[in-house]
Amino acid sequence: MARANEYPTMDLEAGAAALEEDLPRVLRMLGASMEELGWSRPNKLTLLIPLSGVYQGHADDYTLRLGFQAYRTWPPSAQFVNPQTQSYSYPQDQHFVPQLTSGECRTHAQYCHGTKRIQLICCSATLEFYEVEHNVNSEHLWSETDNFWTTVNAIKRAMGSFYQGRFPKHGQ
Amino acid sequence: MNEQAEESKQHGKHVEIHVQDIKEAERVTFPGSITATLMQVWDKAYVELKVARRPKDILQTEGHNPKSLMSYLELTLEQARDQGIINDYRFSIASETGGA
Repeated sequence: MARANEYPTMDLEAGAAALEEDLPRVLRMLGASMEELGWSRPNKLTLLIPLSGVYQGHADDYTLRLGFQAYRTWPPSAQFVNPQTQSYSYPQDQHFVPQLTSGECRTHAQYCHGTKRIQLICCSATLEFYEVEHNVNSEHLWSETDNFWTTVNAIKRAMGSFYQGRFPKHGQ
Repeated sequence: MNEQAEESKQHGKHVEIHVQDIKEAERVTFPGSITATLMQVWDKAYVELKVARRPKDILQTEGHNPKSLMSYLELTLEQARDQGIINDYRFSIASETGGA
């Protein structure tokens, strides 16, 4: 189980193995294939998942990159990325990040923690939340019995009710 | 109302309900009445899934971007549908998360 104020430890082999185990379970629950869902797995530790939100009648598409380097002791890393590069550089890529303002899930295009500057999906189901040692109530701590769909679902739920459009394009 | 019409009306009150349990990555399908409340559907889902309710569980729609149904648990399926809160009878049980 994740612990508050403890920095996550990476275990790439365990992360890949846990994803191997969880991916077919989640797909079976969703009743669809990776292809049907538009997901891709560029390497054994990464999933790319398309998401979308509607703000003021306009639909916006996003790419969520999940990283499984500390999974399942810790939640997956979750970052919105540039769909072309599949990576994120601030500030030029900030418009690839949705503005989410839920109490359960809030996005920061750049979040400062000590000397670190990262994109933060501020939600107890993301790895970065623990890396920045965010305050968390014990009942919200990630459990090893959770799976990556908990993470995606929390973000999708925020997209459904608390989406405020894109972060502005850099320089605009 | 003749017998056939009554039977048809009764049949229309029964629907197929689908519930996903995200934590267990399981799903169940069971019959239900549109006069059942969302709370009753949620309770029945645990029985069908053979899992116990967890303290931070929430009931939500299963759509593209799911919405919490926790403010509407006293509504019947029919009322929730007529008020546009649900579009179908597909739900999921998720865990509340903490954040901002």
